[in-house]
Amino acid sequence: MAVPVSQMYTVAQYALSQHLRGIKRYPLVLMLEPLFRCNLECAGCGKIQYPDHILNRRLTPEQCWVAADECGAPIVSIPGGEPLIHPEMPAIVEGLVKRKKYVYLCTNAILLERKMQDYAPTKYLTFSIHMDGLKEEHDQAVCRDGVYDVAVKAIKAALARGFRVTTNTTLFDDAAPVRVRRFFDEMMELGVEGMMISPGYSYEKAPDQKSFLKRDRTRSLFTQLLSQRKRSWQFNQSPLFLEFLMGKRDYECTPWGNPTYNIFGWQRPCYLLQDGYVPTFRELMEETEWDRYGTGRHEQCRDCMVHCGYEASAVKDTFSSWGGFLGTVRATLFPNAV
Amino acid sequence: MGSDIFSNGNPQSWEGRSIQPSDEKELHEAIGRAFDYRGDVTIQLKTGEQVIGYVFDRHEDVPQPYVKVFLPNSQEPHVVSYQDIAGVVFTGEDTAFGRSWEDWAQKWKKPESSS
Repeated sequence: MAVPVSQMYTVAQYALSQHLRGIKRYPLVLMLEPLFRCNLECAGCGKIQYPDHILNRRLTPEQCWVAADECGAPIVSIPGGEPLIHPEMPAIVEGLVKRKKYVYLCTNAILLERKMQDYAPTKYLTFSIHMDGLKEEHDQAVCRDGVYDVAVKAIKAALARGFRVTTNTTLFDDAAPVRVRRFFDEMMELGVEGMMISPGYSYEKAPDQKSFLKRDRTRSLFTQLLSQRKRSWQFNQSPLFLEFLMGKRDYECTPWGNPTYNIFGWQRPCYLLQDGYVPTFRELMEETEWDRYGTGRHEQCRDCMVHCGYEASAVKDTFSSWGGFLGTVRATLFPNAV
Repeated sequence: MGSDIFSNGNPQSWEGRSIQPSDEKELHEAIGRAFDYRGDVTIQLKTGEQVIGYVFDRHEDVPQPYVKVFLPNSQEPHVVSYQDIAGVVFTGEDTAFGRSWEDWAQKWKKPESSS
């Protein structure tokens, strides 16, 4: 298993309790963006195009903890920007760990070797390293030579210090299945706990608009990537979500599954679309017109199959029906079964 | 849309352009553009004053529609009512513009092995 049993148990207990209490909409992963400043400018990223005075703003630790308490999700993912730039990130993480949140600190790893001494290894903290493929593809995706080698070195160092380490990979239209499968081998050989993969989302503001995946192409690509999977490959995500990417399942988007909090407030409706902000999580959940969003309902959702909208749908499927639960067991134990 | 006072000759970016809405519909469109814009704007008020900053939110479906603006030297957002706005000028750099895929591709050669 890629995900530790304690984490699976926490998520399962949480999701089941929401289901049993009849709560229709509940968050699974808080996407906490404490800053937008980054030390890279990746072609597929639409998160960092702001004036300097916006890039210089930071959430305080207290704001981050209040957001986590308000939201209540068992998992907190910290993307950005580059979180390791934030001078108070160790305090933010420490406060979240104290709350027994499973924290995924998403980083490009450029600063990781230097900064990891500020953190203590715990089952609650995972460094999720941005890796978009083998050396050539990754350095191209992040638009800087040498970043892949830096990240690999940092991964080894973090693993040696006892940290949980995963990778997160965004795949675009030009992904070559054979090379991506080789990349999976390479990451597992490094010793990472698991990998997270997702198709890219066509951010309006991202420079690379031509390379975002359409739905049919997404299904075709992920079928090529994940068919006849090696037993050594571990994915740190829902097996039903992987089947969704392969076109074996169809889900509606669950935009409230990964609510986003950043320097502007709680973002409507999801991590990827910016349709406005509200000051409280309650307002986000109760006052957002959720029916306006999702594939077939909103133009900007048309081709989206991204984890932040659909992984929560897959997890909900697991815990809301016997079919979903048994499908999860089957997909976990026999990922290559038709 | 209201008259554009000037253009910097680049039809794809709103940088440097100005909108002086002549009715409520045009005002909402102008504020929508400002909300989508990834740079600072100058909001011209009917009083003759100006608010310069980054428009990060707008609330249209309320009795008194308003925008929220982060000013460069203030931690708290500044709120401006729609009814007080006379015009919008896209004065700050459009940080999302001018980085086309072609530019990236020229700079970063793709790997030779593609399968």
